[in-house]
Amino acid sequence: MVEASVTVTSYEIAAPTWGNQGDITHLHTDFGDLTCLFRQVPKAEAVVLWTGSLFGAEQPFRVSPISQAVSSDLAQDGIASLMLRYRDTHNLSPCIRDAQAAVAFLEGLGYRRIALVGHSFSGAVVISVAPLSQAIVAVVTLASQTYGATTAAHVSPRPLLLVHGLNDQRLNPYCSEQIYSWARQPKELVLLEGASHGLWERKDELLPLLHSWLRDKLQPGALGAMQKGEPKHRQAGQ
Amino acid sequence: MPTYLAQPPPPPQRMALMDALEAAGIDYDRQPAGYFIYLREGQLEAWERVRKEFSLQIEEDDPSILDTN
Repeated sequence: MVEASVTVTSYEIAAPTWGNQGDITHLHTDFGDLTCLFRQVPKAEAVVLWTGSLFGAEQPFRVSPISQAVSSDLAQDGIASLMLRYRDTHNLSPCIRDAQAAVAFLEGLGYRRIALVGHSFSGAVVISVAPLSQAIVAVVTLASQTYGATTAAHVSPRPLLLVHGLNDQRLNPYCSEQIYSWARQPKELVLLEGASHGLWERKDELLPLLHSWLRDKLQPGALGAMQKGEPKHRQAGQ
Repeated sequence: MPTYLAQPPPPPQRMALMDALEAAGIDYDRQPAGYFIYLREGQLEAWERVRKEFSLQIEEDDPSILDTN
């Protein structure tokens, strides 16, 4: 299901048209073109890849409110964010390739600490992609499905955070419990009372949780043995 | 060896329950019906400790997994 490698042949970053939300970025890969929203931060060494969090066929694209809010907070901590739009939403294998390409793009820019966040279907995407790069140091799933997530044990030794709403009517919260049971330490499970599939009802708890968890896990040396020297980062477009 | 179907404890305790089962080396499977607990030889005492700690209600002894799907 997962390709061994993906090549990003070139990329273009458009002028910032969304104020401080980020720059529309096009990645040209060996299997097609991808569109992302890139919230760059000067001198950032760490980045969060929000898989499947950019929606819409053309501009203006929509961004998931969770990624929008948390990426804004993370930018204050010097952490960049890339929101990825899938070419073929809800088709697991191509979405995994899309996420791999985004990781390759970020690695090419010099980021050596990448966290992945996936909501719902994208939970399976980030679990599948996590073992494929040593630059990936942390993984978050939000209201994840179980299909495609049975390899959760391979996320370790990266920390894994699973969040699910107890009022989720689309994917029962036992899905995240089941993924937790498949995963190895370090792992955390947070079940939010009163939250539906979108989790937004508990945003006052969710957003600070994601912000602090990602910030902590993206600290230099947080994953110890997985780090391979200091990153040589450069800003995209430079 | 025995298999049990345990009802889930309150949500804030579920991560700790799964950690306790793993620490005790007890195999389990989270399914919609609850937690299927698969005991091996010599694990009855450890299971009883976990069961009491989390006040687990046993729904069924030796449940058929096929019945839950």
